[in-house]
Amino acid sequence: MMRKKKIPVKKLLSGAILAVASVTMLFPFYWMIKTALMTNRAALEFPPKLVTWPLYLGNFVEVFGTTGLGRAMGNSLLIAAVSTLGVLFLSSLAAFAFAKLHFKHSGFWFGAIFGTMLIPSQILLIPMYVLFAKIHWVDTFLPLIVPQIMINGYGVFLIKQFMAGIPDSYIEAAKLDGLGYFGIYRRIMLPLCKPPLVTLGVFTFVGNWNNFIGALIYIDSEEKFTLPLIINSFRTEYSVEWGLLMAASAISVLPMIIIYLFAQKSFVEGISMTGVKG
Amino acid sequence: MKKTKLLAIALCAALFTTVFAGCGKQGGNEDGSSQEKVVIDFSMLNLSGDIEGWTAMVEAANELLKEENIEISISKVNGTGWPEYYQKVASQMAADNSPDIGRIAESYMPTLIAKNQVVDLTSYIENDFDMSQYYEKTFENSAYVDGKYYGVPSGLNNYLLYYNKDMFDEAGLDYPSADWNDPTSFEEIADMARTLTKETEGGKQFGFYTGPYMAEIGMFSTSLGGNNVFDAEGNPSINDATSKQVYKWFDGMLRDDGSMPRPTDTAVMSAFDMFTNGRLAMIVDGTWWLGSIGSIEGVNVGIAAVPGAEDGSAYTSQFVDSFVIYEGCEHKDEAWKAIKALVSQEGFEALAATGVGGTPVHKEVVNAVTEKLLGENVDEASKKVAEEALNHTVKVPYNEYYEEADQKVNNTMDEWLLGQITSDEYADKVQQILLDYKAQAEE
Repeated sequence: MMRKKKIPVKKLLSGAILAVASVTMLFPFYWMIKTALMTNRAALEFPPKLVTWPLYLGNFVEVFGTTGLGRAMGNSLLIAAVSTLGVLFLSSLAAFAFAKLHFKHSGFWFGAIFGTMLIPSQILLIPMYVLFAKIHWVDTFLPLIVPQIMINGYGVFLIKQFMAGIPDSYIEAAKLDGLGYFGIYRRIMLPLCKPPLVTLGVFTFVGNWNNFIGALIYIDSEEKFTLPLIINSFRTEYSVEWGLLMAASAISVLPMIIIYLFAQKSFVEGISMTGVKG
Repeated sequence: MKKTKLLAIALCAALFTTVFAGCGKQGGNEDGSSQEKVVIDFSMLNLSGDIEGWTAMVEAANELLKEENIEISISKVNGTGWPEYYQKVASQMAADNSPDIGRIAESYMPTLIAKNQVVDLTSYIENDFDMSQYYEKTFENSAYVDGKYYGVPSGLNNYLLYYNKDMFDEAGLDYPSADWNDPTSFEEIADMARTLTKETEGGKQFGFYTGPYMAEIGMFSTSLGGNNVFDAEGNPSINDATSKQVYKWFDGMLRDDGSMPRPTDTAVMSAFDMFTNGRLAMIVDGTWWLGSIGSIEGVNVGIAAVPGAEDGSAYTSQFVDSFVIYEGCEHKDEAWKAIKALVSQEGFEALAATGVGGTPVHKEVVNAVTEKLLGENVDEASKKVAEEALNHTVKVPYNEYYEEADQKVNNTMDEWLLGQITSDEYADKVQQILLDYKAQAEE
């Protein structure tokens, strides 16, 4: 007698929900790419078509050929990469000190660094601009990189939370083996902190990659324009060139997707272990 | 492992080197000539569709300025609109790093003037400017306060009624009036809109659209003999009987007739895109669309006067962006010469050839732009209506708080448009917003 196979209802249901959620998330990406492959007029046709044919590559040719998009991508990449490396290094170093070195007034100093997260960035915009103008940093990448590296309350908090959970016995053992504090930080703590470092790295990189207002205020020269500045120029005073805007947007999200694909596992771990989202 | 570390360190070093190599202010302004050239920094909102036009205007001006050894250099501000442009310029001014000149929307002039951020140009205009070459009325915008000029118009935009001729022919309706002194009345427009509204295979076809913003309410109210948002003393009066009549007119088309698209209809496709795609029969919108009208395909467009009172004239709100000299400018006389060169006939001709910047305020160039923008796509009568509009403009009553109040009003508009409150209640609400901002400004 054949045994009737049990239908895994729960599995089916969760599969269906996940499928709907995936389509919901992916549909805007599909729409972006589809619009990028259409002329502006075709993009505005009503009723809109789900599939476009023939594909129009002119938008990609134009954004790369005439708008300085390649150079802007390079600038954004440079700012995002340097900022990310700097934030990861200094935030993890500070987090190590707060989590494992019990120095005098450490609670106060941690509170002070954490408190910087409570100040809205818009309030600081003009005072910071005045300061950077005085030290001749305007129209350089430095105002976009240095402040966030020097004090990053979010990064310090994120990594400290994770480091606090690492048993002190590791440090004791390392000390017995003759490691100094920097050696412990570099050889013991950093390898153990991969998930929060990846999480912070992805958030920092994405934040810098998409930073519009900072670049708008501090950058003047066209050759130093970043990607968000270029993307924002694909409109007239009263309308938007959808094809160009979507082509540039599609190109701009590519590095994000690549980074996320590589760092996916550690990124999810980082979020679940520290309980912090960007 | 060691190699990987070395590579990582090398990469970091390379990145830092490149960052710092990219830093540092650009060099001076000298061009090597014996006499030092004065470079005037022109801060400009950079929008891809417009940049070609303004660059052409600057190039034409630079030709004229060669003899004076002055050069205008463009600094692009890649914001999405005027608020970001102003934020950038305000930051620069706070740090004594101001651009010399700029072009800015009329709505920001009261703020710039109140904060002493722009130079009074009155003496320059009175002593070194031939006003007779220009439409003088256009200088009396919000850059003109207490008899003083703080800006020179860079172009003018106003509202027109665009309509789809084929839809009118199909419905057997007469076209809207092309006479600003005998315009189609509000009731007639509502009747036409009702007739032209129908379901089609491609979705609903609407009869009429115009944004129910304060500038529109004000100009329609003026046409009906009422106030333009404020009374003669400058007090908000947008809930007076005439303004409420205008709001009611919108209400009838939005709710009773369903002949005007609601926010839910325009969320996916803007009203103007609906018009260019044959889903909307009439739209009152700005002359900034003339270029699009001139290149539109598959729609037979006519241009008419905006709706007006039955036995009166029609009025259209004007928007005059201005060239200004920012207060931090160190070469004010040269900056003035630069502005004069920009608004010269040569400057406006170069701009008009690209179809950017609205209607030129230079009398010799005004016709060229309608010809250039509209081409063969509309008939001569329509072009004439567009030109005649210049004699029927009303100033948008910008003051120190108008822009901010306008944004707040627009943010609360959906409540009315989606039918949660009546038009009378909404008019009262708008009035209260204006009163609150006025009180705040007077504190």
